[in-house]
Amino acid sequence: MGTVERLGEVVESNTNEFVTQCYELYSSPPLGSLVKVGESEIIYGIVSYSSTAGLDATRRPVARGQSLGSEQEVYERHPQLTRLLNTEFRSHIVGHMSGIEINTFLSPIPPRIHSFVMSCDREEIRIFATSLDFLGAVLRSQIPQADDVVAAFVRFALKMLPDVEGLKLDVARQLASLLGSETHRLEAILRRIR
Amino acid sequence: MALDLAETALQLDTMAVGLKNSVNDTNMRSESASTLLEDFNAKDFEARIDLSSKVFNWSAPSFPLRPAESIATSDNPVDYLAIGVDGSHIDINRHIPVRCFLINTGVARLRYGGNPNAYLSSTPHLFSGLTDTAIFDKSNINRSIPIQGSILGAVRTVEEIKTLATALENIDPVESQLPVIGLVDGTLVMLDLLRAGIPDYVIRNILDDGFLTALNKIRQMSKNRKVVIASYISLPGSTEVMDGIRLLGCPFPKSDCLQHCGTRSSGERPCDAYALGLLDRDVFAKRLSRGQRTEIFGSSSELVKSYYRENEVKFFYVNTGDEIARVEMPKWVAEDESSVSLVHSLVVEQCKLGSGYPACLMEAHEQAVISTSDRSYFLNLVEEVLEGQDMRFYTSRKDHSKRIRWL
Repeated sequence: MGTVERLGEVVESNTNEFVTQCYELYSSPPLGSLVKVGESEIIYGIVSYSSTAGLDATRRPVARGQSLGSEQEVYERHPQLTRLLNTEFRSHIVGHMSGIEINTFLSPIPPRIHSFVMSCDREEIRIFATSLDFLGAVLRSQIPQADDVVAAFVRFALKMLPDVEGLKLDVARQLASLLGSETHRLEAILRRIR
Repeated sequence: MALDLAETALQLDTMAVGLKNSVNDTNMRSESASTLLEDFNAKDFEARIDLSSKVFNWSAPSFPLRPAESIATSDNPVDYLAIGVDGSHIDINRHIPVRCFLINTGVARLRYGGNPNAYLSSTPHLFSGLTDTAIFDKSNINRSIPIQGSILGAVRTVEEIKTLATALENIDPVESQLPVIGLVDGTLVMLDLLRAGIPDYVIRNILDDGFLTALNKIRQMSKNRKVVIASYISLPGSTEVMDGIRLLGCPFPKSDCLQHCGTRSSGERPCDAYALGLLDRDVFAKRLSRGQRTEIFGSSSELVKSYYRENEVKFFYVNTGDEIARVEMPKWVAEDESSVSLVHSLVVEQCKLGSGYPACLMEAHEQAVISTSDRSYFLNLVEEVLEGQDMRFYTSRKDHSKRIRWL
């Protein structure tokens, strides 16, 4: 994710999270990626969930490949699938731009529907990775896989910022402080970012 | 309870027993009909048609030289374009204060082979006002007929074929090198215009100025590139071939129905031994294996004979693997062997891809369909826009009563 890339558009939005419909099938950014949305009011989110399903909820996909040699062939033989299936991802809001500063807490207003969702550049990722203020909010959130999202974000940051020294240690300290006596939970998260 | 289901179930039971008892008779008739097809002699058949014209009560189609022939499908091209078009409409609602109807056409353009892709779209077209919702007689503008019911069905068919022509026209230059099949759902014969009492100027308006003009446009395109079009009829209920079989099975030298059988009731006529209760598909179901088609027959419709000219409708039956379907095409497609072969192979392939129904038509239908909730939303929109213009929206008391359903 060296250059900023347009990923899709917001189709559902609230104070805590927004849902993005991808322009291309199966092109959701990986779990834990940092993304941003909006042109004037920029809001940041961490990808917490993604899904692919039929655009029309009343049309359930059926198995098509029994006699075919590969999964790719299923899509080649049924080109309409790329138009009828749809990938979406959900992002937990972790910050917003205020003037020229990035705040690592909730935005006063949620993103607008049809706002463009983009990947973030290294500098933006660095700000969130070194602040880590938002981790507590994610861990306390109602996201069922909150611990995995946190671990995935750390792995994402480590991959994008290989030159930032001590990042893993800072994360471990921050998580230990946030989780207090929940040692099993802390260990489980740390195991996922080793 | 509005419908007495217990009583209905009893009547359905009786119906089912009756149907079961007739299965053997039907099978025997089907075998006899099949034998007649095998023994077909074109010269005798034509002579019989000439001799019996105007006195034979049924309308036999033109038969091919070998109507009993089953033709296997050839390999379909790997790279091709399939364009399906379908339509749906909201009819005039006489219970509201505005006269309007809506036609929604759906297009599915599917490219197969090396660079597979798909384009799906739907286009609504609202018709309102006096001129848009009626057909006028060009020679006497005081004569007109409102577009609704079956005439609206015909107008929708025109919109579908026009949409197909536009979709074929809009194919980009690279894709235009590929073989293309355009498919519409249902018959090419405008059956909606066969209803008694439809004036000739209406038929001419719909056919000459609409349907046939669009077909001619496609025919012109087909001269420069490999474009074929056809219509697909799933589980067809036609008996045209059976009508021809009645003629073949008639024991009288001149098939004068009134003279020989005028006093005989249904089931007692000699030709009933071959055709009573049978549909064309019943006979071909026993003759065609998976993928095979019949030879090409010509439509017997008077409407086709009178108006269609170079777009005269030809048809074959095909075993798609899931059912016997009827495929109709204009004469200019049917007269070219390679075009027929392309229609045949691509229809079979499309049915395979669509689990028994052409994939491009299935997707076009999905684009065109207007759901119950959309219909209701359309009505609300009409109400909103009228009130936005300070016009009062009202419904008939009958409609109001149906909606309220008070106790």
